[in-house]
Amino acid sequence: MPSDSHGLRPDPADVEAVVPDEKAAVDKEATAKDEEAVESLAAAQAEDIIKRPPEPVLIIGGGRVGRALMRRFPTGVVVESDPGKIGQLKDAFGPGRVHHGSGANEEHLLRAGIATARAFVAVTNTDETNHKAVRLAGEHGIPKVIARIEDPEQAPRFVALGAEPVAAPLTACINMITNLLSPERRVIGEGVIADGAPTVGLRIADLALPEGTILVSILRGDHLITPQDSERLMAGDVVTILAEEKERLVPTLTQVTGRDLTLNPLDRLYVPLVRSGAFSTAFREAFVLAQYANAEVFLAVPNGLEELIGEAERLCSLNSVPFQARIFPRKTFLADFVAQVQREDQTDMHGGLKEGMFFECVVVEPQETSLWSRVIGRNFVDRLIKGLDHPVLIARNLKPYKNILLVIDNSSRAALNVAHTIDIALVYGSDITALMPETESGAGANDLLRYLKRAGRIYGVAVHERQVKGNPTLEFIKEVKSGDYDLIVMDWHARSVKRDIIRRVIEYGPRSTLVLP
Amino acid sequence: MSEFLALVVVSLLAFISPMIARRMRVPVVVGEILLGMLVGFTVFLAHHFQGRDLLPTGPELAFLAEIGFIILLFLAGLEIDFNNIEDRGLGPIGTGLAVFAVTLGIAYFTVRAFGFGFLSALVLSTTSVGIVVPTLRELALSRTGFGQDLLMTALVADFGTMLLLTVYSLSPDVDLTDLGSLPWLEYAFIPAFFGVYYVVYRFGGMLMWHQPHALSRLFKSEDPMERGVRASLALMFGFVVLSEALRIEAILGAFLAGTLISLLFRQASLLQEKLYGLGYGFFVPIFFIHLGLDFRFAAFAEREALLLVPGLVVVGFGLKILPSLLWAPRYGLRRAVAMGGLNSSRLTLMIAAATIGRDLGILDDTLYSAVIVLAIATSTLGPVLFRVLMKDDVLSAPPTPEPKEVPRAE
Repeated sequence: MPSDSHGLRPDPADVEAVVPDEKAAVDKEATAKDEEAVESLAAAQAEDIIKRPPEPVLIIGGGRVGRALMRRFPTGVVVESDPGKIGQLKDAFGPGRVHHGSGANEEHLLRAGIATARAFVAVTNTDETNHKAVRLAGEHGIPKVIARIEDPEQAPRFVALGAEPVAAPLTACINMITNLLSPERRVIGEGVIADGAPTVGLRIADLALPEGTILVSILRGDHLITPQDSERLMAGDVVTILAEEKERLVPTLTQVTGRDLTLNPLDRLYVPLVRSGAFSTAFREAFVLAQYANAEVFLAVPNGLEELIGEAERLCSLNSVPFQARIFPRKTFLADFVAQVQREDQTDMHGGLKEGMFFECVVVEPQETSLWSRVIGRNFVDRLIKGLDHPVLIARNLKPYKNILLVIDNSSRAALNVAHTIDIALVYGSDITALMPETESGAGANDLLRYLKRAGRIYGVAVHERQVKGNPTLEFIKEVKSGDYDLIVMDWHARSVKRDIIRRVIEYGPRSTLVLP
Repeated sequence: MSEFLALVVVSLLAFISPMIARRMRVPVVVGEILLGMLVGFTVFLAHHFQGRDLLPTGPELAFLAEIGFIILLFLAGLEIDFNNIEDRGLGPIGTGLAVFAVTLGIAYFTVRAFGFGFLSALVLSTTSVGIVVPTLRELALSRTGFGQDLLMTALVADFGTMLLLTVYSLSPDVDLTDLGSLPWLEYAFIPAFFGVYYVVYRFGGMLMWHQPHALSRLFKSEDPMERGVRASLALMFGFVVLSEALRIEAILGAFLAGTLISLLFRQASLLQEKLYGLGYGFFVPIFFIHLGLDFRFAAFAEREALLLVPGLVVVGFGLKILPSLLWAPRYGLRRAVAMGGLNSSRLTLMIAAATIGRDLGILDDTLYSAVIVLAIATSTLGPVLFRVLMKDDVLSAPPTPEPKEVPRAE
C-alpha cells in the first residue's frame, strides 16, 4: 500500500487484531491439564494447514464472509456462482483456489474437491442454497460442516443434517467459524508492519517467530502473498498470524509489525448514568457492544443510584462481560467522571502508539437540551464531548448496527474517524456508507475514501460511497433523517457540517450517534 | 450623454485592474482605487483647465457603488468560520478585545491632541479583515493557531468599530453629562436588531432540520433560476432595510446577513462562489473604482493635506502595532509586531467610517481624502510588512495553493 504508508494517518489495519470469541474455547480446563500434549498437537495441526496442500476447506459463496475466510485459510477453496465475481476472486486468491459453479450442484462440488475436503463451509446469502450445499456435504461424509444462516429459525433444519449453523453478523460469524474450525483456542490476527519496524527487510526465514505461531499470509497492496522463506517483509505489509492461543498472538503481532498491539481496538466502554432511566438505553447499548467487541464495561453512577450497579453486574457476569463500577458524588459527578476517564487513559498508554490504535468510548443516553441549558453550557452530553478526548456514543438503538453513516471531509482528524468507524463496523459486521460532499472532493478526501475502501476490502466490510451535491449540511440532514442508518458517526470538528446540526443530531437524531473528538 | 458611458468606463477599469495590480504587486483593491483616481484626476484636470465635464457621473453610479459596498460586507460575513471561533474559546476573543480597546484608547488620546474627536479615533482604529484573510491564506498561515488569533483580532476590531460607529452616528454630539439627552430608544434598537437576528437564526435552523429537501434546492448547481442567489440577496437586502429602519448602519446589517448564512449553512461554497461572481465580478469593483473617481483632488491643492498623510501613516501603524504587543507573551515580539503590521491594513471600513464622518460634517474634504490615501498606503504596506517579518515562519511551511482561493483581495 504505497500511497498510505506516509505515517501521517493511522492505518485502519493497524488498529485491529482480530481475536475470536473466547467463549468458544469452552474446553479451556481440559486443555490446561496437559498443556504440552496440546501444544504439540496444535503445532502439528497448524502445520497441516500451511504445508499439506490437499484436504481443502471448501467454502461455498465468495461474498464478504467467503472472501474473509479464504484469506484466513490458505487451503480454502471457494465455489461461487456469480460469474461477475469470479474474476475478482481469481485475482485475489489465484485461479487454483476459485471454482465457478453452484453450491447446490454436486458435479460442481466434486470439481472443487468435495471428495477430499476436510471441512465444508456454506456462506452464500440464501439459506436455501446453503441448505442444499450442506445436504451434499453430508452425503460426502465431510466431518466438519458449517453453514451461515440468515434466519435463526432455520437452524433446526441445518442441525438435522449434522451441520453447525451460525447466525450472526459478519465478523462474529467469521470469528465463530474460525473457532469452530480450530477448537484448540487457535486464533488469527492481522497487523500492518510499521515504517522502520525492525522486521522490515528481513527474510521470513530469519523472522524467528515464537513457537506456536505461524505467519499465514502477507497482503501487499492488493496482492495476497503466500509466505516463502526467501520473501522479505516490507513496511505496510498486512501480515496475518495464526497462533495456538490468544496469549501468543498479540506479542507476536507486536514483534512482527513493530507496533504495540497489546490492546483491543475497543477496549473499554464508560457508561456514566445520571438518572435511572438511562439504564435502559445507555447501559444496554454499551452492554451489547461490549459483548460483540470483547470490551469491558465501566459503569459510573452518582450516589443514590447504587442499586443500578448490582443489576448491571449481574447482567454482565451472566454474559461474561468484564465489568467495573465506581460511585461518584452527585455534585461533582461530571468532573470526577471526566478526571477518572482521563486518568485511566494515561495509565493505558502503551509506548506512545496510542493514537488510532484502539479506542475507549463513553456511552450516554440522549439528552434534550433546553435553550437555557445551552446558553449556560450545562448540557451533560455537550460538556462530556468538550471535556474529553474520547468518542462519545449517544445510545438510541439496542440492535447491532447494520449500516453506519460517515461523512468524509478534509478535516484534520478524518483519517482517525475512518479508522474508528471501521473498528465499529468490524465489531458488528456493519456496512459503511461514506457521505462525501461534492465541495469536499479535494485530494485529501479522495485519499481517505480510497483508504476506507481498501480497509473495507482487507476486513470484508462493505463500503458504499455516496457523492452528494449541494450544501453538505443539508445533505447530511437528509441522510440522517432517511432512517437508513443505525449509527451516525460524526466528527465534532467536521469542516463540512455545522456544529449546530451536529448538536441537533445528538439531541433529536433518529438513531445512535457516535461523536468523535 | 448616456449614463451608460460611466458604466462602460468603470467596467473596463474593473477588467484591467487585476492585471495592473498584479504588475504592481499590490492588492487588486488598491489597483482599482488607483485606476479610479487616475481617471478621476484626468477628469479633474479637464474640468479645472477646460471647464469640460469629460465623464458625467450621475447618482446611478453612486447607487451601484453603494450596493457594491453592501455586498462586500455581506461577503465578509460569509467568510467567518464559527466552528473555529467556538473551538478556540474565549481566550483569543478576550485578547482581541483588549487589543482593540487599547488601540481605541491610544487613538482617542492621539487625535484629541490634534483637536479631533471620537470619530477620528474610530476611523483610525479600524482593520480590514478583507486584507487579513487573503494575506494569511497566501502564506498558508490561516489554519495555524497564530493565523486564527490574528484573524480574531481583526474580526473583533472590525465588528467593534461597526458597532461603535452605529452607536456614534445615532448621537454624534453627545453630552455624556446629561444622560437624559441620549437617544435611548435608538440605542435600544441595537439589541432589538440582534434579537431579530437571533430569531431568524433559530428559525433557519429549524427550517433546515425539518425541511432539508426544500432548502437543498437552493444549493444545487444546476438550478437554472439561481434560487440560492435570489434568496441570499433577499436576505441581505432585508437585513439592510431592517437595519436602516432601526437606524443602524446598513453595512452592519449586510455583514450580519452574511454571518447568518455562514452560521446556518456552514459551507455554502457553491452558493458562495455564485455570490462572489456577482459581487466581485460587478458590484464590488464599482465601489472601489467609484471611490477613486470620487477622490477630491481639489483638497490636495492645499499643502497641509499632503503633509498630513505621512503623519497619519505613522500613527496608523503605531496604533495597531503597539497594542498587538499584548500577543507578544504568546508569540514573541517579532510575530506580535507582524500581527500589528497586518492589522494596520485598513480599507473599506475606515473609508466607510470616514464617509459617515464626512456626511455628518465632522471630517472635511481634506481629511477625508487623506484618509483614503491612508487606506491605500496601509493596505499596501501592511501585507508587505507582515510578509517581511514572517519570512522565517513561512519558509518552513511552503505555501500550498488553496483549492478555493478567495477570488480577490477584498
